[in-house]
Amino acid sequence: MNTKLTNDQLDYLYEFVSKNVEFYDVQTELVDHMANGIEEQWEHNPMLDFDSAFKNEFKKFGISGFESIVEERRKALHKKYLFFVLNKLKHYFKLPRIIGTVLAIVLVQLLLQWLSPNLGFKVVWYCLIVCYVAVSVIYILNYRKKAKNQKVMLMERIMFRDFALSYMSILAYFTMNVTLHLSKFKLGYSSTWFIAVGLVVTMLLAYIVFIKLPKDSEKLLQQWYPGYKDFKKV
Amino acid sequence: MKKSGLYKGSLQTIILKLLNDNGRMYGYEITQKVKQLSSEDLEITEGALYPTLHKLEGLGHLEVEMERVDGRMRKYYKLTESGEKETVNKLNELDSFLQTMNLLLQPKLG
Repeated sequence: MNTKLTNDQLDYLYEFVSKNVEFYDVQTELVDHMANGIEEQWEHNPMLDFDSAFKNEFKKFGISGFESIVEERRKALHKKYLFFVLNKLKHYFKLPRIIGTVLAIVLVQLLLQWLSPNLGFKVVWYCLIVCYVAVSVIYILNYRKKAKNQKVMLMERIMFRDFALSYMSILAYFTMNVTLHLSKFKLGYSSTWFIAVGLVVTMLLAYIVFIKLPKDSEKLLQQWYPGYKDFKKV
Repeated sequence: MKKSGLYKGSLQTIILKLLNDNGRMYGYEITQKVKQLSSEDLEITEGALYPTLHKLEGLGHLEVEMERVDGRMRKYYKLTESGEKETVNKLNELDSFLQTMNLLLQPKLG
């Protein structure tokens, strides 16, 4: 007679769900849901075997199964994190920092006018690109190494990988545009402003994405998902 | 949702109200409670419940707590401060919707 799931049956559910869902937090929620459903079936029909009860539960998730749940969750958490980041930026940009940023832009612009169309600028520019790419690639590789064979929450993936990837695509767009400007014989006045703003902004973004956010995010995970450390150990 | 699409637009309101009345709840518990309160008339499907819960969590209206129950981890949801405000808003919204529908469907004669 069945009443509660055994550890082996729970392991089976985990194994089944993890084949379709990569993230541990989503797996846990779905396993608990299916387990409750199976136990509820046993309350009415204790002789029902595990396989049939399991099939009945899985059927309830429909054709798209778990996939759409993960996708919807990704969207929702992305929004949550973006909201946090924007809020953080709003607080970060107090008057002294705004003045600092504007000054940095003006300084870079003056420097560019002085260098342009000197070869020196091109050299500096290409070095910067190499640095940006190197930092991004090292960051992503580090993340992959850290996340390998580890249980990953969807929010962690968004915080420590997806945001870095978004930043890299902004960077790629900016770099492409600047490189197009560089191919002109002489940098125009407006180009130097465009490059100065872009350079300072991407530097700031790099600092925020690769240094500031990962530090804050660890704390944030604890705050948003209390008990998350124990939950990873299970 | 198995029943008419009319319920679909009110799913957030239903969940917020349940959490407001019952404190913290987990996903399965919500589906059962809805079934029970509606005398088995309304059944929330898994594919509708979790996206709605996650959306409300993403908007900051819900916070989560993890707890070990029966050898497995369970995720509980509860209202945040903004969730409590949202519940009031959503209920007011639903109320005025019902009133308007009533006026439209049962116009006073004369």
